[in-house]
Amino acid sequence: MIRAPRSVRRRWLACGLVAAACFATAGCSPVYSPSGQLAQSASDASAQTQTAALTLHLVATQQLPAPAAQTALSDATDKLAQDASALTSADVSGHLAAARGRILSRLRTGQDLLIQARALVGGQAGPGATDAVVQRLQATAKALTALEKQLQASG
Amino acid sequence: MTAPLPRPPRVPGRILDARLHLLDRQVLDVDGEPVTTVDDLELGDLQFGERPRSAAPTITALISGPILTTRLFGGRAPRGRLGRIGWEVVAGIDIVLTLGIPGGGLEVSWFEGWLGEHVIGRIPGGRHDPD
Amino acid sequence: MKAVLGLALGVLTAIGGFVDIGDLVTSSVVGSRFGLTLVWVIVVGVVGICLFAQMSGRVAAVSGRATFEIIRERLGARVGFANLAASFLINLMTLTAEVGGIALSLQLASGLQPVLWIPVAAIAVWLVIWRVKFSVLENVTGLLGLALVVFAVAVFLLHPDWAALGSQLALRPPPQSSESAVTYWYFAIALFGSAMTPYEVFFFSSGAIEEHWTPKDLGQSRVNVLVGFPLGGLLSISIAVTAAVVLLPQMIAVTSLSQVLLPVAQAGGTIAVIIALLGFVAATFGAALETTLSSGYSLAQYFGWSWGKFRRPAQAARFHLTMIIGLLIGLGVLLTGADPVQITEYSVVFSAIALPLTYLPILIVANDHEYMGDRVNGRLTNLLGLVFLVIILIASIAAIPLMILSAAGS
Repeated sequence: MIRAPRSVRRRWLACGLVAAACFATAGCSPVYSPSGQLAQSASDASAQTQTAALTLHLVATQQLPAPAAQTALSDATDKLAQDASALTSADVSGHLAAARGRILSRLRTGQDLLIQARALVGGQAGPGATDAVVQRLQATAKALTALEKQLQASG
Repeated sequence: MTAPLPRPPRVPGRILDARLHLLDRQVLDVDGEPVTTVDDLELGDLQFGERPRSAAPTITALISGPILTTRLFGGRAPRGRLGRIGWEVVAGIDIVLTLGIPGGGLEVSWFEGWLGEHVIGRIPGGRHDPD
Repeated sequence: MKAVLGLALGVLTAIGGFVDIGDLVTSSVVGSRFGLTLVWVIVVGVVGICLFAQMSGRVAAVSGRATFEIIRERLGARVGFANLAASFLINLMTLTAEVGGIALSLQLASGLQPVLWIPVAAIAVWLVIWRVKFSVLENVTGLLGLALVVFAVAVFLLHPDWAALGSQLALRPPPQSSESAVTYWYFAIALFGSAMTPYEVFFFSSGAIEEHWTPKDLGQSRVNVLVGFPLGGLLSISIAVTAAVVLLPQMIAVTSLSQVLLPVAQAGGTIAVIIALLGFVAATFGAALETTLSSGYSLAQYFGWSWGKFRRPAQAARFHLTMIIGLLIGLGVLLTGADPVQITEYSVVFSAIALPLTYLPILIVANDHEYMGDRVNGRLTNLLGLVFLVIILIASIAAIPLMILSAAGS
């Protein structure tokens, strides 16, 4: 085994200390706090639901071809599922657990609406049928954003 | 006031710095095709791995092979795994080293040749002229 | 007349070939989360890549040697190896992202799952490298990549609030954007890395050798770079603007390639979408070709193997083997289900981290009289080069702490 010279060892030690310092400060950063993680999931869920609303609207006005729309909706579905699993596995208690419950319930609504949206795109539905779903998706997105803002304000 | 440095004696031929002008240089064969890079030099009347004693040694060969890991991390490579290009075939020294013979028959080219014969050459289109 | 056509072809190819999956994704993400407040980074990145591409093209044309060949000779095996290791690994990551990008674009066009397209994409990339002439490969993907101009057209079709866009350019954050300073600077570095892609420079100089450039071709190369790259940068900016106009007000932060397409659909409907998808496929395919070739070039040039598409494949066996292995690794990673968009987001940041290792040697070599004769860098070029070196060093050092502090921009 070849030993690295002292100067090289000191350099590695310095890098290690810097990395440790970063992790330590990061631990205190709001992004990594439990409420920060919940807010992050809520924010992403809101973005995905809003994306679905926009996609469905563009399909109804015949501005987006079906394959691209199906891809967009399927991406949104996958990301919502990831957000849901991140939420359920988050280690929270007390008022944060209640907040998580509220976010999850909105998210489930969003997932149901997405299933309806994908069916509508597959069936080439017109503006009439899709408007209701679009509006409910937008409402869900707004609710999720509001929950995210509440978390950021209180947490 | 310091005395001026003595001028070096003028000798016939070129003065090269082995590290600067020979080591890590590209070696091309007589047709201009790349052969390898110089990883190390073999010095005459010295066994490989010995330290030089008194009189200036002469270069007898260019060495190429898995010597890179030992140059980076220390240690010594087994002699058998290194390819050797005799100094006598070196024809020109410039920003690249040129040999006077085609590269195909050299020790260091066997892997490239084997790959070209048995792997790449076997894939359809492998021997086609580049259009 | 023929000269003018040749010049135009070079410029158009440079514009169309500028954007890759890194630019597509990062510009759109940045537009959707920060509005236009990060556009200045694209401008800085474009200036940087123009500078270094020019330098490496000049080195190749004047000395007849590609940059990587010279790096080991001039800077020694150790520094050269560090450079090689960093460049090669990041290249591999970028290659994986680009092939994934091809698959995602084809999914958007067809509706079929990307897992079906990934092997198709990898094999297609290899086939084109194997059989298609270098200049044809470059020109076709570059020209088809011009389809991305649809993003610039979309900006005007969307009738944006120009005053609001202007205030964002002047670095006033838009009301819907609530990102922290740490995230802002993290994405600045990511955007910088996406503009100053390391592989571009190695590809450029090796390409000069592939096409047997001489000092006479330097004029053409200068025009290609100084006209083509900035216009290509404008395409990146257009992508960011469309995201800022459509996605930002609806608080849609971009996390998938499909979202990048939505503003174009809103602006120009199905026809615009089809053109944009053509652009996506051309840009990602072209970049996949370039990164694959770059991985072969860098390894072959460092170890002194014979390389180049101008040789019979059997005559450059290790070069071709490297590329095949690179594509297989990319294919393997993608088939595990890894998200190409996430790979892209990491690859641009790691590109930024490796920039000092990849760019400092070029600056040194371009100043070396032994290779360049009297065509070494002028004073202005060296001044700009040093300024950029400082910027690159700062970005590289700050990247990892910012990544940790911002949780990779989440």
